[in-house]
Amino acid sequence: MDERDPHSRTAIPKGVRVFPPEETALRRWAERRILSVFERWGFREVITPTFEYLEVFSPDSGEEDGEKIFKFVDRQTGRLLALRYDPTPQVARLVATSLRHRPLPLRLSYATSVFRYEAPQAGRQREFVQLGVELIGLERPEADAEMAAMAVEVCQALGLRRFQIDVGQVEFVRGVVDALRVTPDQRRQLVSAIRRKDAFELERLLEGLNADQGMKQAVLDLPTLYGGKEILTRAARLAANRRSQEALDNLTRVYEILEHYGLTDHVIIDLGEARAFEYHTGVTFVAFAHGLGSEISRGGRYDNLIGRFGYPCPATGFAFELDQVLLAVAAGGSPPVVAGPGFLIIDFNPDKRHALRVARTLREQGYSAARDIIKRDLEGSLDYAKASGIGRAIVLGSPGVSQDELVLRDLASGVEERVPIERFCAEVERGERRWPT
Amino acid sequence: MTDKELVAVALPKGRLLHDSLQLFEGMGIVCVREFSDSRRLVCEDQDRRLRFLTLRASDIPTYVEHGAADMGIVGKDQLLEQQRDVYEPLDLGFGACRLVVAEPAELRERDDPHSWSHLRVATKYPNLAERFFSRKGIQAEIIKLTGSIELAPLVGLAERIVDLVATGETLKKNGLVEVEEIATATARLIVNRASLKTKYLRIQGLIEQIRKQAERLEGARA
Repeated sequence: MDERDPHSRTAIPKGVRVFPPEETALRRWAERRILSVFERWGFREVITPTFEYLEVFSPDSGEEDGEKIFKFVDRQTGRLLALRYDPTPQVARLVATSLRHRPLPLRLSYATSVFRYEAPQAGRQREFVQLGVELIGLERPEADAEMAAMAVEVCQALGLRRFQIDVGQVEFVRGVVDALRVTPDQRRQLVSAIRRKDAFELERLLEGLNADQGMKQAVLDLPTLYGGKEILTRAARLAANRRSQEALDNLTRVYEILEHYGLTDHVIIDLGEARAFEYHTGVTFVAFAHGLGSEISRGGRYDNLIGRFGYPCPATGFAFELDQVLLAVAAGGSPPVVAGPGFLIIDFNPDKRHALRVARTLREQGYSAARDIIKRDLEGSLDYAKASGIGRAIVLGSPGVSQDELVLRDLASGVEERVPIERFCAEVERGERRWPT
Repeated sequence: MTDKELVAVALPKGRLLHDSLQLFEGMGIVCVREFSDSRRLVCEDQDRRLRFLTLRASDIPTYVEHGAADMGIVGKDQLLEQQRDVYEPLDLGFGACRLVVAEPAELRERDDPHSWSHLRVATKYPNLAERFFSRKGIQAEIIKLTGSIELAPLVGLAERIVDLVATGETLKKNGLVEVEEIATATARLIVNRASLKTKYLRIQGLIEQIRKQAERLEGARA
């Protein structure tokens, strides 16, 4: 790039973002909320590498998703490397290697950046943060229900009031479609139409197929197989083969457990949901928040993925997407008030010991206290504090105030209080003076 | 609470508007009449809690994908071109058109489509055209235009065009003939994925009402 063009230095590549302090504070707030739910359910956090050999993410090259992986070459081995495309296979590999001899079940969580080469203007970032859990070693429906219940609790912890967990079963869809014995190309077309709930296209595709009418009808019904519990009954008549029948039984049990949790108000069943990752093998779910056009979380069962790394072991999990979560929190109308730093200490005394003591006392009690180090008049310091979102100013050594006193000023209301420094520090230490943080 | 939720429906200006308005008027939603003779962009049916927006047809998939509208009516041509992540539960049956490759009549006389290897094509549908030709192993140089596509071959901008054809009248007037059909396109109802899930009783009911009305209209036309 031309060195003289300042824009080449300030430009930001498509798909990544920079967050100013206020936004960062909100993101950290949401992260803490989500991670604390994970912790309360007994999940322990792990860290995975930012890049891997490509094969970890893309077992069969030629996968549709493969195009979205950021790839580069390892100089040493010449093998292809990939930026973290999906944390789940990484956790699966961790389980199959380092954690292999630990007793099951394992409850693991992560909070990390994910990189996907999304098309420009798709409204999606190419680097985004996922916070997720993996519950490993359980094939019981209770495990799937636990995932859905946790997802509900995360939504509640974020203050979202209106949300829906959409539960599906990929094996049901696959069973119904594969009963038709179609070519891979026809299958792709059918699955694409099912994903779009395009009944018209399905009808057109099925017309030419030589298959049992009942099987065809089952496929045609997929786009409307969403709703409450009644869907399970409706689907029972369509599940002609064992694969779909078993999938449906499994989903029914998961739903029954969610009834015990008392969560079915938040749950909708969609048996036509075909949007799973290729590695999903059972119950899948997606969380939607009111007022947001796309999902905030998705997950599901993946019983064969860990086996790819040499340790056959059932598992299920889900992940929230932080960008979506923040949009949902904003749309839900209840974003928390994220306070700026608590105190700015403005000191006009030549002897800095008083100011340092006040600052230390406040910090020890868990408040944030910054010192105004630049020389400027009081007015200037207070303007700076307000513009920086600081809540209170403590002024030492201003004209007319004795050396042993400070002025505490609430910047929002302008209310001032004069207090001896000694007393102020003692009261803060004893917790007699308290401020919301 | 779920019954009271406002549902926003996006309607396309242009060739599909008349039939779209007729569809909703037939369901007893009279507020949409405001659209037919005014510059209004929004109207609301208070009782049914429905809001209607009129938009450029090509913007409708964007509005619906992002949830700015819960549902919308749009030609399949736009859906094929834009490949948006939306549900397409209904074919409304009206606005039938075909997407075709066309070229000047005198070129057609000596042209053999089976031997195409490199083409220059003007179109409003660059993605769709690109996909169509690359599937056939044809290298196509796509020139994106936003209107009066038929003009391109006459002025030498491109030898061929990919465009939407209803009766074929416009092609004929400009000395063009159809060479190949890419797809047929009717009006579709599209629905935002989250809306379908978070307002499902309401949306499901609406889809069903629209489906019945569309069938009635189709019956009347036949």
